Amino acid sequence: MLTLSRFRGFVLPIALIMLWSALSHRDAAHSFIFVPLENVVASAREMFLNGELSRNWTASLIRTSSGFAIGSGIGIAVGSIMAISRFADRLINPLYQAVRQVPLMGFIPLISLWFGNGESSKLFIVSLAAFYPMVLNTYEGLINTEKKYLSVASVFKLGRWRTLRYVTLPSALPSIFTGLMQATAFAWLSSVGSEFFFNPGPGLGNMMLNAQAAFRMDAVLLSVIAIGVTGFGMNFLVQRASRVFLRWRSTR
Amino acid sequence: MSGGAMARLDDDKRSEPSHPGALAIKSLNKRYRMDGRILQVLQDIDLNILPGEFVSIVGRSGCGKSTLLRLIVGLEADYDGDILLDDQPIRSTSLDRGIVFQDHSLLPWMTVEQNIGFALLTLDLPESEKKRRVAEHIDLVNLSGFAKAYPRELSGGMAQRAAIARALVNEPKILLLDEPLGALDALTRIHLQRELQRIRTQNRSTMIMVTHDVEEAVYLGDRVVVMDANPGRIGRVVTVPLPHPRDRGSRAFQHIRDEILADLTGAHDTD
Amino acid sequence: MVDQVTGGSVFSAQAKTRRSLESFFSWLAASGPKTAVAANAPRTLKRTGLTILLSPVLLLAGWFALSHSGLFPTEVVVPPEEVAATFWDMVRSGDLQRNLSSSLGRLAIGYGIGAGIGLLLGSFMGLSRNAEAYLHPTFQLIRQLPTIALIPGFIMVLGIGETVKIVLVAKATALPVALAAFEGVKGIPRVYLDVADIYKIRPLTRFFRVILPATVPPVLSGMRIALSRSWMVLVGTELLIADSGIGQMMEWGRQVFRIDLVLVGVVITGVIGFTLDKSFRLLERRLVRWRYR
Repeated sequence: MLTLSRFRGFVLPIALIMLWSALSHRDAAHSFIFVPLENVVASAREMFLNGELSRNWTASLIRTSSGFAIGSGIGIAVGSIMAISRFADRLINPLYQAVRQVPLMGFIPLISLWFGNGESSKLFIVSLAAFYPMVLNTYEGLINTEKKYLSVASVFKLGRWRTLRYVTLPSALPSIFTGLMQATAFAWLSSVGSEFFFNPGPGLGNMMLNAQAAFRMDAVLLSVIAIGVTGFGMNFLVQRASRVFLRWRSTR
Repeated sequence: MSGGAMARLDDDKRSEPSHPGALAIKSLNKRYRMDGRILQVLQDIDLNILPGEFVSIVGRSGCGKSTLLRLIVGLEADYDGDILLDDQPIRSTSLDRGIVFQDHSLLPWMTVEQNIGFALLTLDLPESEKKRRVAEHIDLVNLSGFAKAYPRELSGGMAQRAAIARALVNEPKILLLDEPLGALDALTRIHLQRELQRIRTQNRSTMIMVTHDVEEAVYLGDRVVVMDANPGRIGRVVTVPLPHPRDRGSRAFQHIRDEILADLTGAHDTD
Repeated sequence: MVDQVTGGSVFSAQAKTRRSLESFFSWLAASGPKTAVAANAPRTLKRTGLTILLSPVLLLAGWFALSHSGLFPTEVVVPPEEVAATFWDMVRSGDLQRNLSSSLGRLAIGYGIGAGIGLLLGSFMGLSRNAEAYLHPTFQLIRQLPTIALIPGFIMVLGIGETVKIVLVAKATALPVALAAFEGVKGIPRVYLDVADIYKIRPLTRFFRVILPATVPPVLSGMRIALSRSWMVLVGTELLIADSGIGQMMEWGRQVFRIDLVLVGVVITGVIGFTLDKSFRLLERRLVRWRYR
C-alpha cells in the first residue's frame, strides 16, 4: 500500500490520457480535436524522420541562443554600469523602468514597422526579452552586497577594482544567475512567440501555425510538447551551471 | 602539533623589536548627528596600550565599545582627539591593524585558504611566501585539513578560527577582536578562549578585545577596561596580575571577576 | 568623483566621513538581509531628486529633434506632438475608450476566473497531502507549457471569439497564482502552527488568524506577477486575433502603416501595465501592513 501510494502522481495524467483517447475514438468531430494519440506518435515519427522537426527546432533554438547572447550580454553590461556609476544609474534607470512597463508583445507592431518583418525583428524581440531580467538582476546583485563584506575589503585595503573582483562580483553572482535563468526562459518563449507575428520562416512557432492552418492537431500537440521539453531542458542546464559556479552556497 | 608551529613562529620576524604596536588614545570624542540632535557616543577616552599587551574592554550594550574598535581599525575617520599607533595618527584602515568581527565575515564564495589569502592580496610578496604564510596560519588555528572547505561547511567555532587566522596572517601590529566569541555556544567558547591564549603566546601582536563576558575578559586580559554608557566613557581600568594559564576557579580570579561584575551591574548604586 | 562600487562602498576618506552614520547603523543591525537593504537605502532616497526627470526629458527632446531633422520621413519617426494629437483624436472619437474597455473587460474576466481557480487549486494542494500527491506532478508538467505556445492549439479548439482570449488570460493567471498559493501554504513556518496547537486554537481561528495572514504576502506577490503576465498574453492574443482592444488597435495601425497609432498603443499598454502593477503593490502594502515599517 505504501509503495502504491507513491504512484498517486501518475493517476491524473493516466486518467487524462485515457479520457482523451476515449473521446478521440467517439466520432469524427471528436477525433478532430482529441486527435488519437497514436496519430501524434505517428506524426512525431514522420516529422522526426523527414527532418522537419529538427529543422524547425534548430531554427528556433539558434534564434534563442543568439538573442540570449546579445540581450543578456548587453543587459549585464548596462546593469553593471548602472551599479558602478551613480550618474549612469540616474540616467538609465528611469528609462529602463519606463520602457519595461510596456509588455513585450506591445512592441511587436512598432518593431515590424521600423525594422521590417524579417528574422532581424524576431531576433530583436528575443534580445529584448533576455535583456530585461539581466539588467535588473545584475544591478540588484551588485548593489546589494552585504556591508560586512565590504568592511572586510576595506580592512584589507583592497581598493576599488580588487573589491569589485573579489567581493562585489562574487556576491552578485547568485542574482546574476537568477537573471540568466529568467533570460533563457523568456528568450525561448519569445523566440517561438515572435514567429506568430512576423514573416513565416523556419521555427517551431511557425510549424505550429502551419499545423493549425492545416487543422492538424497532432502536429500542434507535437510542437507544444517540443517547446515544453526544450524549455525544461534549458532551465535544467542553467540550473546545473549555476550549481557549479555557486558551489560555495549552502544547499537549500 | 602546536610545538612545531611554535618553533617556526619563534624565529619569525614578528618577535623582533621592530614590531612594536603601541596604541595611544588621547581625549577621544565621537559624536553622531541624528535628526539635528547630537549623540555623544564616546567621551574623553584616554588609554595607553603597550606593545604586546592584551587589553579587554567590557561594558553594557550601548557604551560605545564597538565604536571604539571601529575607530581604532579605521573604518570611521570622523572623530575628535587622537588615536596614535606607534605615534602615527589613524585616519583610515591599514594592514597594520587586523580585526575579527563577531560574525566571522568570511567571504562565503572563498575556501578557508582563499579567505586567509584574501588578507595578503594587496601585499607585495612572492606567491610561494603567501602560500607558506597561509598554511602556517591554518596550522596556528588548528584548521589543517579544512583548507579547501567553504565557510558553510564549518562550525561556528571553526569559522571564527579561520577569521582569526585571516586577521593575523599579514602580521598586524595590533589585532582587534570585536566580541569574537560572542556568537558561539558556551563550551566552544571556553575552548576558543584557551586557543586565543595559546595563539597569543605565539604571536607578539598587541590585542584589544571587546566582549560582554566578564570572565572571558579577565581570563585573557592583562588589563580590563570597564566602560560606562551614555555617554560612553572609561569607568575604571583593572589590572589582572595573574599568570597564564589562569584558573577560573581560583579565589584571586573570582575576586577580580566579581568586582568588575559588581561595577557593571551597578551593585554599588541603585539602578 | 567619489569612489563607489556599490552605493558608496569602497572607502575613500571623504566617502567614509559622509557615510559614517549609515555604516554605524547598518553595523549595529549586524548581518542578514537587513544589511543589504540598508546599503541600498541611501541610494533610492537620493534618486527621488529631479535627476530622474533628466533622461525622460532628454529622450523626448531627442525624439523631437530627430523627427524634425529630416533624416527620416515623419511617417516613420513620428513627432511626439503628432502622437499626442492622435491620442487626443482617439479620446474625442471614443475609439480609445472602446478599445480600452474591451481589453480591460477581457483582462478582468480572465484574470478573475484564473485567480479564483489558481487560489483554490493552490491552497487545496498546499493543505492536503493527498491532493498534493495526486495533483502536483501534473501541475508541474502543465507549468512547463508556456501560454504563448498554446495559442494556436486553443484557437483550433475554441475558435477566435471572446472565449479563447479569456481562457488564455485565465490560463496565464491560474498557474502562477496556484504556485504562489501552494508555496505560500506549504511555507508557513512550522512553529506558527505549533503555537496554535499549544494554545488549542480552534480550527477556524487557526485558519483566519494563522494560516491566512501567513500566506497572504507570497500569494499577493504571485497574483501581481500573474497580472502583468496575463496583460502581456492578452496584448499578444489581441494582436493575433481580435476585432477590438488595444492590441487590435495596434495591429491595425501596423497594417495601415500608422506609426502614430502604434505609438499611442505602446504608451497606453505601458501605462496600463505600470498602473496595474503599482496599484497591486499599494494593495499589498495595505493588506500586509505588519510587514512594512
